[in-house]
Amino acid sequence: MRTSLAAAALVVAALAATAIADELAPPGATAPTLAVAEAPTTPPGRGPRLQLALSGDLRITRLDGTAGRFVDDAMAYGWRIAQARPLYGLGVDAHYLWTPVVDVGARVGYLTQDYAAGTDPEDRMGIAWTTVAASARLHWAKGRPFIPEPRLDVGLARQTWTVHGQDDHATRSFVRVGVDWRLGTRTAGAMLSIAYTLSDRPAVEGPAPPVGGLDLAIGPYVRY
Amino acid sequence: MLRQAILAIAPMLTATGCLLPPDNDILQFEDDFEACDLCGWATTGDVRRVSTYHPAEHAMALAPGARAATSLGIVRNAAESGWESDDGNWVELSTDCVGPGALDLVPDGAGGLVVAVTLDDRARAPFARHWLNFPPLDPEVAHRFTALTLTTATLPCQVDNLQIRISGGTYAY
Repeated sequence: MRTSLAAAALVVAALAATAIADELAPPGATAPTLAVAEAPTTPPGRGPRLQLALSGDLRITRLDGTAGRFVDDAMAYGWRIAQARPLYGLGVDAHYLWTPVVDVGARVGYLTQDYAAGTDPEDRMGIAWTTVAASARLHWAKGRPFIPEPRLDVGLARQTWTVHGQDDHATRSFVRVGVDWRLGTRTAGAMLSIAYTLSDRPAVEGPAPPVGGLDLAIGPYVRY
Repeated sequence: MLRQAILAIAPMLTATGCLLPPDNDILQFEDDFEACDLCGWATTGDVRRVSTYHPAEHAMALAPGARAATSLGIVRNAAESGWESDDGNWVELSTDCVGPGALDLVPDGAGGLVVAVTLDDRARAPFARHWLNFPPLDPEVAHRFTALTLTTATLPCQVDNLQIRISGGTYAY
């Protein structure tokens, strides 16, 4: 008898609990049930929230709008060889995967190249371009492979311009617009990027090396 | 007086290496005004070494009516073969005066020639490269160039990457 009363008390308690759950849920969202003991459901696991990427970068400065003028000015000034050669270097991205649609983060990079040589081939004009930028990327691939994700970077660059072995420093601003392709799994893979970089006009009366242009980048990424 | 001074110091400057060795048989003289503050140049009037588009890029700035001169030790030998011409010798310079100016060969009184460049005085412009051809040189005769002079008239000019090229007719501009 006592056993029957205890079982009845458990059933009543279960019904009461179900009724409270139904009242809290929107109408029709929860089917009424008399189940007493269901296995507790585990909440869905959180996906990766941070993405780190390392890339080898190549910037085709020939596609900068000032490339032709640089070559003309450098040759006019007396450099024996002048070309808008591609900048090359490395970049590191860190993005917070801010669901549902935007990744936000930062990018640091370093690019360098020699642009001109004098009568003495060892006498070079070179550029080193060290950048830090804020970055935002539309996060709409949702795990599907090879979906381009538009991206915008806005940043500052520390430009070291070397002529005849002496450095001259300047701070430049730039905007980088392009797309990223993520080739890999949710946690690791390779990232491809194509973008175009626009920089501010240098305050130089003379051959100013072009530092903008079409960016190509590839490298691994991991997500945590 | 200035000419005599130039002639007097020419062998000394040659010996001290102020004249750069040619990179080939053509480039006989070069000055990019980077090594020192107008070393080897004798000046009259306001002539200075100035920075141009970069702190490490220097040029010679001549005020109106100024003159700068440096000694040379260039010898164009008599032709060894019949095909050599009287052409193919020139001065190259980058300047912010609008044109190349004019070039004359002036006897120095001691059997040599002074390369006398008068810079353009029509207007100023962004730096551009200019070439000034020598007058025809008799290939049968040896020529010795002992000095180079730069002179401005009514406009200031900046000059950089100054070169003299003597090809003996192999090349021409």
